[in-house]
Amino acid sequence: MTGATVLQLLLPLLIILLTYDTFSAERELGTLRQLLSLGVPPAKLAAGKALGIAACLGMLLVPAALIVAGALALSSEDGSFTATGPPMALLTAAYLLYFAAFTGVSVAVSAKARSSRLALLALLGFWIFNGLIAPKAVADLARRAHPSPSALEFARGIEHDIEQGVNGHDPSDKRGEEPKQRLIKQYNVESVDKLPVNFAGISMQEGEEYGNRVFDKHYAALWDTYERQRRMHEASAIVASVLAARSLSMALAGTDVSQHVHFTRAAEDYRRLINREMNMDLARIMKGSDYSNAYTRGRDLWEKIPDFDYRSPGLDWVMSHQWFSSALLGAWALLACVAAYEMTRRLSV
Amino acid sequence: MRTIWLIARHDWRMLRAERTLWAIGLLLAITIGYGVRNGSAWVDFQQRNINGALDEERERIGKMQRDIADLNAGRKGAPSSDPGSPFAAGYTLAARWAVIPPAPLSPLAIGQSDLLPYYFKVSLRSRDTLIGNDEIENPVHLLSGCFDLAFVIIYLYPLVILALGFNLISGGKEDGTLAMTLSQPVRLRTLAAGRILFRGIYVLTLATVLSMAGALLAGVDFSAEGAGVRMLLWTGVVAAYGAFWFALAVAVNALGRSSAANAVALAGAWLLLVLLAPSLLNVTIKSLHPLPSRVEMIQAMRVAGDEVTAQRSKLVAKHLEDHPELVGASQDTMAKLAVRNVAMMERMEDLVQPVLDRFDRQLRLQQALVERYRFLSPAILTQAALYDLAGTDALRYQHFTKRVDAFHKEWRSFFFPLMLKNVKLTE
Repeated sequence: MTGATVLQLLLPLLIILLTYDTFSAERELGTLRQLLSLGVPPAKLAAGKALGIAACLGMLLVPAALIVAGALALSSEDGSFTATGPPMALLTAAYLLYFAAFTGVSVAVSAKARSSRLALLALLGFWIFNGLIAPKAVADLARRAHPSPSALEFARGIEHDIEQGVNGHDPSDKRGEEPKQRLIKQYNVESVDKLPVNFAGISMQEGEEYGNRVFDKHYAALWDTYERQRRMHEASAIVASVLAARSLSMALAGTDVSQHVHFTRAAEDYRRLINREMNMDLARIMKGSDYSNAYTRGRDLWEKIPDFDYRSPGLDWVMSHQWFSSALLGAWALLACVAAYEMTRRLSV
Repeated sequence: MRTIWLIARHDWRMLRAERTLWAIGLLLAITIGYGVRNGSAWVDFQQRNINGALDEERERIGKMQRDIADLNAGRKGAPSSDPGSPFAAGYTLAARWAVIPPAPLSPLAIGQSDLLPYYFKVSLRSRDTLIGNDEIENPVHLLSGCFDLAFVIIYLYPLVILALGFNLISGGKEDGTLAMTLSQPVRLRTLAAGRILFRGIYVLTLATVLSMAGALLAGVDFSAEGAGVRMLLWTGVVAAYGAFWFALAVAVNALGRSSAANAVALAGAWLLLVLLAPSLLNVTIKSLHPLPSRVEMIQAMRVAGDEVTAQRSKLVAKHLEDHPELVGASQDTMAKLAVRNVAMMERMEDLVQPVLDRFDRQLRLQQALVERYRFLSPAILTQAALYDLAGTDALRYQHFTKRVDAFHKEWRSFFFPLMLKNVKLTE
């Protein structure tokens, strides 16, 4: 359970409990007739009801949000809002849309329902579907539509491609032989032992590069599967707004799969850089086929390797993956407000 | 008694006429079907992987036996790695898969089986290579959890019962039928008993139908050992869980408030017991006894690896001191290599052991807390019982991991002497 659980699951429930009888209770008490006889325009009536609830929630949320924002700023590197401010603002906007959608739906249902009891039951059903059923159901659907490989299949696929070649008829022992002949020809010597460069370094680098090709192929397929699954989750926000809110919330917090993949790619590139440097150093320093213990290197080699300097993607990169979720969340809020307005307009005593 | 049955029958007629009951029934049927399908799909996936692993093993060992036979008959030159060497056999060629097959009832509750490894490749490689062979899964899916029959039972089934029971008495009071009925020669107690009897039977029937329909849809093999008993217990647990919620609804009704107040009170109880209590318990336990992170384990292994490599020769000397019987045998190059490997691996494992021990200790503490506080919520209790019956609980997997560990030790104590004596495998 995290802050996100509270905001995505429990607060909507609070909204429902505050709102479900906003019209139906007045109808049951008989005050609705009086209220309507005053000739208040329906838009104002609906907005007024919603604002009352919003004020109530605001008393709870605004201080909490300020405390969180302050704590985040204090714990950030430069102790200011420069890093956390913009994503925090977007996150706040996203949650406001999400809450607006729930308030709109609740007001609409309360205006439409015959009794408070029915309004509560309908809204609770809506809440359970949105928060509990839909995320699980969509996860299972996405898994079935775009299955990720099992760990075993994945490992065997990589093993197979390294041994038999990516195209299936390029076995590894043949691949090992090819650079030998090429180098002998290139340096015009009669055997590997006479090479002016170290064969072990070069052949390790060749093997490494072939492995990289294989990894790239398999990981690209895996990330592609995740991306397809993500799109299914994204599109499912049409029926459950929590999926859009969750997607935006994870993206802005920097804890979603896309940003994880971004980091893995950077780390993998760094690994490749180290390997290449080391292999090429071996190839340069040692000669022929000698790879005895005589090869020892000092600090200077390691200092040549730059530090791993990872920069998490900027806000524009993050949001460029989230425009659909943002649009859906906006649409939810808009439609819910329209529904609240329409139902208030047709309000009958 | 006749009156009670009369009231129960009447109640049934009234409920039958309501469309909501049929809508709820339909919704329940759909969710059961969907949940069981997901459970079956997961179990099929596991089974396919296990079969794949075992096929791979059979193929590999078959090839090794053929290679050895070829070599013995002199049909072929020695391949790059000698299939008859205990080194090659123990490390790669003859490595065995240790697998835990899904239990007969596991399609009904996925439980923790989507988080815990269910196959390990056991070889002479050190124990830490057994850690971290998780299934590949989109983290978003793990976050959402699975939609299985256990989810339907724990989360949705209580809601059905509450919808059925929240206006048991208060409903009649509000629409005036209670006063009408009580003007007949019948006591309130009898009337309440009749209604409770009928709806209670309904709840219990629902529990049985839920479980049995799930089992039939999943194609549970009842001929498997213990499957029948487990199924009976499963039904019993579901019935007890349903009885709790029904009793709660009756108790709230007995307070004599309005239907709306009852609905809010019962929805609050559901929220508290099903949704909040488990996650709060989870958060508390995790912050009281946090598990060491995987990064810590990896770090410990790297430090240990460096240390072991640096002290290589010292370790070999010490190992020979501890095992004087090896001194004579360790002259051969291969045997020397074997002694070195064994000495280094053992030292390495000793160095990493504290982290593993701490992990185990924290896990035990967490489980002890769950054991004690699971009584706070019937949802936690039921979930634990259902996972246990389905064989997808953490304990079963821990037991499996322990057995794998033991097998790994046995594997070593079989191959190490062969390596030291440099025995050739001939079959």
